[in-house]
Amino acid sequence: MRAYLIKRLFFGVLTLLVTSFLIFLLLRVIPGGPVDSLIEEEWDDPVLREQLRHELGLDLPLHLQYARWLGKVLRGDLGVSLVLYQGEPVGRIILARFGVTAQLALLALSIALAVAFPAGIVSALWRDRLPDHLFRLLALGGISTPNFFLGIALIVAFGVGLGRSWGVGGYVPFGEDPWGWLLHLLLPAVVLGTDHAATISRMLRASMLEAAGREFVLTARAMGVPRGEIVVRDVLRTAMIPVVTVIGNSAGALLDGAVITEVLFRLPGLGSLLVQGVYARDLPLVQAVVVIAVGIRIVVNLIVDLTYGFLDPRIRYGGER
Amino acid sequence: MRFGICAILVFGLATCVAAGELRVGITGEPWNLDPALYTDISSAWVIQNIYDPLVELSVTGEPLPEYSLCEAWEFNPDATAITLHLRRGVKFHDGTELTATDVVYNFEWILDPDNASPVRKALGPVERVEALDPYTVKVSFSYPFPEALQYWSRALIGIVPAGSRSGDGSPLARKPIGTGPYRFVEWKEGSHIVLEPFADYWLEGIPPRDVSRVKFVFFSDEATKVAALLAGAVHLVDWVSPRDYVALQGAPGIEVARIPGIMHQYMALNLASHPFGITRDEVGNERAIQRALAARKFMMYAIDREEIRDEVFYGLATIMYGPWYPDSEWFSPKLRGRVLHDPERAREYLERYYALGGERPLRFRIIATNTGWFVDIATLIQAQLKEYGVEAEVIPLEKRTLFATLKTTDWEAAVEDFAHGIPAVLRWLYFGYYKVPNHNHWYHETPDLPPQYFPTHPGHGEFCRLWDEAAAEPDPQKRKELVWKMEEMLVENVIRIDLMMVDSLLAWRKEVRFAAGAVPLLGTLHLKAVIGFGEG
Repeated sequence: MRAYLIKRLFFGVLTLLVTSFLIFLLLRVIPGGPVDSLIEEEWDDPVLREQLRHELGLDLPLHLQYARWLGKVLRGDLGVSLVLYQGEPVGRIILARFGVTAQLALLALSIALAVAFPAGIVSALWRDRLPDHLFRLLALGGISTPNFFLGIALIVAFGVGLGRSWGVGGYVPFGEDPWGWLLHLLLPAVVLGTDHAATISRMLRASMLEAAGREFVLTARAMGVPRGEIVVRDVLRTAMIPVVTVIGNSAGALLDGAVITEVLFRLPGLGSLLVQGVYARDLPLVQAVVVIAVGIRIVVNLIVDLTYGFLDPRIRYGGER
Repeated sequence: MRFGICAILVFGLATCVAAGELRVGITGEPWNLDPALYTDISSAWVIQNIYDPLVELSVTGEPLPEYSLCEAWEFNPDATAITLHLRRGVKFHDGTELTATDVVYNFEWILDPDNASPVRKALGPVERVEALDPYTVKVSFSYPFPEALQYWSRALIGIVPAGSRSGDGSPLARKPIGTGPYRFVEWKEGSHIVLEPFADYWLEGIPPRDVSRVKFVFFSDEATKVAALLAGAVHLVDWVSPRDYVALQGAPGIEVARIPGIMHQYMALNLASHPFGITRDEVGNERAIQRALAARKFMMYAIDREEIRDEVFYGLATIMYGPWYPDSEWFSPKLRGRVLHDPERAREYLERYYALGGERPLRFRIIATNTGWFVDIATLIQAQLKEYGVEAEVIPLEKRTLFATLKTTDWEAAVEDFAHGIPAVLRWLYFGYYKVPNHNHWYHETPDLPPQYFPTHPGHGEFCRLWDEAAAEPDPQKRKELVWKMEEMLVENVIRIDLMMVDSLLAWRKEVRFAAGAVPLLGTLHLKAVIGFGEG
């Protein structure tokens, strides 16, 4: 187990390094840069342009720029924002925004699970009957509806139609107003959680049906074990392994979805920060947000893999016997 | 009973005098609140309420001393110096009084190359700035500079206290101190900025007592911004698109206004590549030059601007007959009202293009910014050209990518716009056509022409000579005539296709009351013009 963990961590760090280099290159290949944001096109001045490039270290060769960035990161310094929050440490900005995205992701995942589990179980237990058809239809709708459409529809319904100020987005810290916090996060969490709820419920249904046909379940039924007990102890537990993978993927994908949802609902999280950073060509900021997002994915995947062992004791890591 | 009446009276009184939070929805989050360092439009929205400009301009470019820190000014006869008379009794938010020393400091700080101010060039040919007394400043120029006030409306949009910028980076970027009607309170990153009324503001009745604080709320999505206005979550917004304007007309509780705009829509044509220009090998080749000109003239007459105005802008735009505002006295009378859409002449020029060896069918790419209405304009032009058998491919690009592409010669036509922040025609003629690189790649052979560019369509040298002459001409009538000549030259050679000026479309909730006539005068929903707020 320990060897497996060390190996995974090693490859995780390697993945992070390679990704950070690729992101670094990509950010420098796209047209326009921070200097274009710091000068006005109308008053463009080649001397000022060069002066800014030098001050920001953008006139150095690429490998030196990367080495300088990496050296700082290893010392815990993610650099400073060049355009959006000029001169402010990137680490501080990200820390301030991370909380909002984490709250949104957790609430969205909670909503997704709260909807997916009953829907998945009911669909499996009443296979090809009315509840199953109904949930299949809802799941299809959930998967097919793009976030931006659902988001705008909810804004029109709750914000414009019902005139609720929380219906048009914004963020209220929990400490200031817990009820306001929940109301402001509810719609974006519903938007973010909808397609994940649909995916998880369909996967749970399929896994449960597969598990229900296994020999040990048939044996338990033949032995007269109550249906509820079979469902909870045998079928659901066995069905959880693929479901956990999907939940893990969903948890990682929530950050991707947060980009659109946070922009639409005016949430000051990492997703909206990333969009702002890309438009402004704030290279250190974008670089740090993407690397952190990749890091989160790596950690979530590791946690998912480790969870398998708890769900199925037969699974052993790294050739353990 | 008496208690009840008292309670009603007290409650009523409280309702009448209760000050409220005025919420302003703006697109995007400001980057920098230092008036000499910001480069984005969102910052400008907040800055104009924290600071006062040296000289405020009306939407048509006329100085408005009643809204300015300068209450009077005079140029010397040859416009090589200007004397500025400052308003007395103006206080900064830190309690100190504004004097000539502060104004001199603002000039000198921007002019210092070490400070890398993006608006250094917008100060113009300033040679010397001196305080003649605590309320008088004299600015001398190295050559006549009659458009100084127009230029300074951008460079000196806010005057800051002397010595307030020090150390590494400007502290004003995050904690601004100005003389404006509202003072800075807090900035919640990604969410909002809060200002509060400045009690010692010099303008009578501003800020109104009904406003207890102002919250600038950041939006990244236009639909959410309009929804917030309709829901009452914000009371006014920075601007609305033509489509939203039409939807907001008649909406309960909403006021709208349409005033002449500054957003100049155009189609740039690349004079340094086929089919609208020549290649490096063809420099001086008269046949190639005429072929490219025929292709450009075809475009000039084939594009139906009225259809674009009505379909894309819902009729909320003013068609342009050349490179400047059609109603301006600085626009050539010869060009005003000329025929713009003429299918017969378009066909003649297309045939001429083919006769001179142009590729058949005429085929090219139109690059357009992928936000806003640019792709809509491009696809409508694409459809209009199809009737002539011309094949245009529309390529949407992210804004910065588009601007980077324009600096190369790997494009043929581009749909873009330009906001005339400074309503000065010579400035636009310089930026749009004189400067290298300009969006058309119209150049002549000069010692400082960068090697990646080359002389394209003839006449650029003459255009630059006319511009130099106009810029140094103190007599307004003579300057105007030189400007007209340049405009006629641009149209005759179809250096660019000017389409229209989109109207400035404004929307706010009825609770916000502006001073009579102030909105059309200033051209924006400036908080300096808000005289009341609330149901009263």
